[in-house]
Amino acid sequence: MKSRVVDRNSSKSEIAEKECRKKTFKSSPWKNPKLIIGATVLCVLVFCTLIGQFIWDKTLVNVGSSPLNLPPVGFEYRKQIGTWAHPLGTDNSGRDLLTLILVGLPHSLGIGFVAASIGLVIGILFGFSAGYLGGRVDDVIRLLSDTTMNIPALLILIIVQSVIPNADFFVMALLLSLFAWQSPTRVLRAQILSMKHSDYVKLAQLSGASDNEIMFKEIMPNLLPFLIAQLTAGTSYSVLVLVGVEVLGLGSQSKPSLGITLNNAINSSAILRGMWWWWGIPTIILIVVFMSLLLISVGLDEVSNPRLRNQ
Amino acid sequence: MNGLTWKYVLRRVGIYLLTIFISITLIFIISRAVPGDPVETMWRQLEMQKGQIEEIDVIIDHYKTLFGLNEPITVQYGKFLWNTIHFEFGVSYAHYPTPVSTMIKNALPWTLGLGLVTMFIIFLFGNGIGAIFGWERTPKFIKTIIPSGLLFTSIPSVLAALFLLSIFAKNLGWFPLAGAYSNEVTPGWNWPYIASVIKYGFLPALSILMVNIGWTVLGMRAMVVTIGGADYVRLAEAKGLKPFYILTQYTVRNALLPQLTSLALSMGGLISGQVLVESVFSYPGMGMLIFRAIREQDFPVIQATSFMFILITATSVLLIDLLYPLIDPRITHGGE
Amino acid sequence: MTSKVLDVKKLSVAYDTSLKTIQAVKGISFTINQGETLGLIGESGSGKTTTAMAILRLLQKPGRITSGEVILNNSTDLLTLSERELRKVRWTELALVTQGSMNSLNPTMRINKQIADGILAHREKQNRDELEEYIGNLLKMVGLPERVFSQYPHELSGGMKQRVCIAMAASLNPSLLIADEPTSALDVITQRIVAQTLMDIKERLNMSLLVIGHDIGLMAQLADRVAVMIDGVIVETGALQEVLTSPQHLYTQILVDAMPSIKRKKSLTSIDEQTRQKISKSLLKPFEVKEVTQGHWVAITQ
Repeated sequence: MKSRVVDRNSSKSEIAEKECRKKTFKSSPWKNPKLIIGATVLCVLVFCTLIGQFIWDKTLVNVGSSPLNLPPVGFEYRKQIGTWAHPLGTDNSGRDLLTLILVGLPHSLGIGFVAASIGLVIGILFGFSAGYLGGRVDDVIRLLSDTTMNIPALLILIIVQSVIPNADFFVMALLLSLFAWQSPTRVLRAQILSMKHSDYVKLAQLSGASDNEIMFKEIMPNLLPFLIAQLTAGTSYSVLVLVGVEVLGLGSQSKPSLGITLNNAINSSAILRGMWWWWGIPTIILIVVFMSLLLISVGLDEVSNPRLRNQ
Repeated sequence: MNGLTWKYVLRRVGIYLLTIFISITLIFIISRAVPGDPVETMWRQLEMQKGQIEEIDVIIDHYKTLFGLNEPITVQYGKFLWNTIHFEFGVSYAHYPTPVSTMIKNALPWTLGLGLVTMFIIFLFGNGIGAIFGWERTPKFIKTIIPSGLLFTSIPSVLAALFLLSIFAKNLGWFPLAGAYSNEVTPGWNWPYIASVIKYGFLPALSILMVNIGWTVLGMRAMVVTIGGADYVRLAEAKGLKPFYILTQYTVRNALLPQLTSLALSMGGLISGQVLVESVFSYPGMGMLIFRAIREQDFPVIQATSFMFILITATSVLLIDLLYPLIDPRITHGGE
Repeated sequence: MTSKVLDVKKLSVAYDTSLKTIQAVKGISFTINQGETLGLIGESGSGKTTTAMAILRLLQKPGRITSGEVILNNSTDLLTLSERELRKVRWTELALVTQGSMNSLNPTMRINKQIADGILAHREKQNRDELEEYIGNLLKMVGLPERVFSQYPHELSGGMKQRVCIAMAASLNPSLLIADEPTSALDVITQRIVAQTLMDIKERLNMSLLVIGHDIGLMAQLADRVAVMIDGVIVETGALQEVLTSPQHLYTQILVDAMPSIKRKKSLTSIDEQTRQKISKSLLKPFEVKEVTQGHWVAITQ
């Protein structure tokens, strides 16, 4: 027959592991450089545009409110020299680019954020139900997300917007949220399934906690970084689709935005005419926005999954 | 098909058909959701913009009977469904009387060509580069490039397209500004034509590529790092196998299959990106068709091309999903 | 005197953590003679697997060998070999059977190819038919049916996989086979079969064997000599019978005492935390190794 040596905890390799854990505990995982850089850049950008709304003349977004084809300060274009009255230049119908950015960016980000939030709420409800209740509920939710997640949001939005050209903020956000719930649902379902079998949830079950208590007191707090990562990724995706639709020439023309500015620039051959600021500045702003959103979600992923950190 | 279970195939094909069905239904609901008559609204708008159109009432009536707009809504829906799955999309408003299906037939090869080539390159090179980045034997200085590559992945391909167009076509003049091939060559299987197609397709492909390849690289890198710690890789080392052989036959071999799944997941984004890139480069594919149709308010074309793109996305995802269990022995035999 | 297949001299292994360096193996020495089976017994974390990996030079970061010699066949010091030379020695002289966990075979490669690539890495080009026949014979030798040849790992049971691993390790007739917990994670019956296979192969190919484990029952079945390891130190070495019948070190005594017996009924004892602490503490002090009887060595703390 056999006998086994009693296992103990204080073995060498495990001591090493403990030391490691102690160290990462000291330096909080939330102090992730990617997360901090991304969040800082995004906050600064949003803060600046919000401040700008108050100190800058917002009527300059209107057609003909400014001189035409004016380059940014310090540049010259067809004998026109950039002025501080329009620091980022103007387009070919006399709209001030700085104002376009100040007004357009918070609007686009806002729509994206609201859409992602709605998507996340749906995702939490669906994901939790599918993962925790299982059975029929799980089947239906999975079927629903499997069938809709491969429909590119951009194309449905193209059709919608060509029929309803002047959709407002909340209609847009609602439309985008139709495509923002599948990812959180899938990810949450998988997480819940793995947590359901973890010891601490079983312990809570044994101690007589109700399903709701377990869901929101035991499981939810552990998923927090995860949820924020999904929210960021969702915002990024929604803004991406929004910009895409606008670049194609759809979306509310009454409310200026970066995507519509790009569409105007493409339609007016801004690149060929050498008016680089017209398309270049909105592009750079958008790239900065997308990069910081990506850094935030990658950073958050690392916060919620320590294994990624050491790679 | 040993072991590729029928249950799996049936479920997968069922989901595919359901996706198509839901899409057509959505398109139908949206197109009828406008207050008033869509055909009449469109034509009146067109008239307002472009001036008097002759016999407008006749045209409107023609379309109304064509779409069966005078019939009950359920009959309309049935007809719409039937026509769509037979690729009957009616006639273009802006290019009357060209059938929409003809326009799509002309644009489809360009879109498919550009899409397939970029997808192939992304999969091949993305995984190759990712494997090198994840390999423990790769020198540190090469690995430090990763963070900069990561940032690329966040740029929408349409923005990358604008930059590439401006720098390489406008300022440097290395590549053409628009189109799919030069006027000076005759289409066919001749070398100048093929060279021209490659030259014209280079920048559009590059804009889709440089943005989307990052995800493949990152995914592969993570897979290689994870699998590199597996017992069987360590045993392969104990066998005295050459490191590169271990990387290809043990690590990458096992990492590649899950990568197929992530390719399927990224399909929607890839195709949406292509729609926009084609618009920027005036590439004569279906993306350009949508772009122009939006400007011309050509609703049948918008509707049909969108549907075609959804169909392409769903089909390619289906194909990948069905291919996967065929080449992965772990799934083929119903393991796990 | 019989020739030594493996001579480990004052081998030390350390793990570097961000806070401090931890000594996992503290200058241990032991030998394995030609045709002999040595059992290395210890609880988890005692450093026994680390020792095996160090001998094979398969330690993963942050582990590293700090000092010592590992001499194979009285001639080569494994620790000084270049990567190229090391690759040549691996599998031809030194083979490994890893823990009985399910993960030591490549899930996407057929069994025959996994056995073949190890052979082809060390032998000149071989006739395809001969190679296939050879692999077929190997599988037969470990008692596996013919169909296994072209199957994938997930189609096999745990015990079958472990026997494939044994066949694979024996494929180049190495002088030493290291089996790291070859039967853990298997059920009792399968453990027997795998252990028996290991012994058969060893006899047949006249290999030497280093078996690592925490299961004294298994050791009693396999080993000629045993070494008892705790806290990175070998506290007792000797012939199996001797160590089992007259254990000298306190830790070995407790270990042997904990082994159930069919012959006489007794209450199972296990080590209490206090005694365990005491042993650990005593091992931190310098000690010397004394030969109690012929070939039976014990660490004695001063």
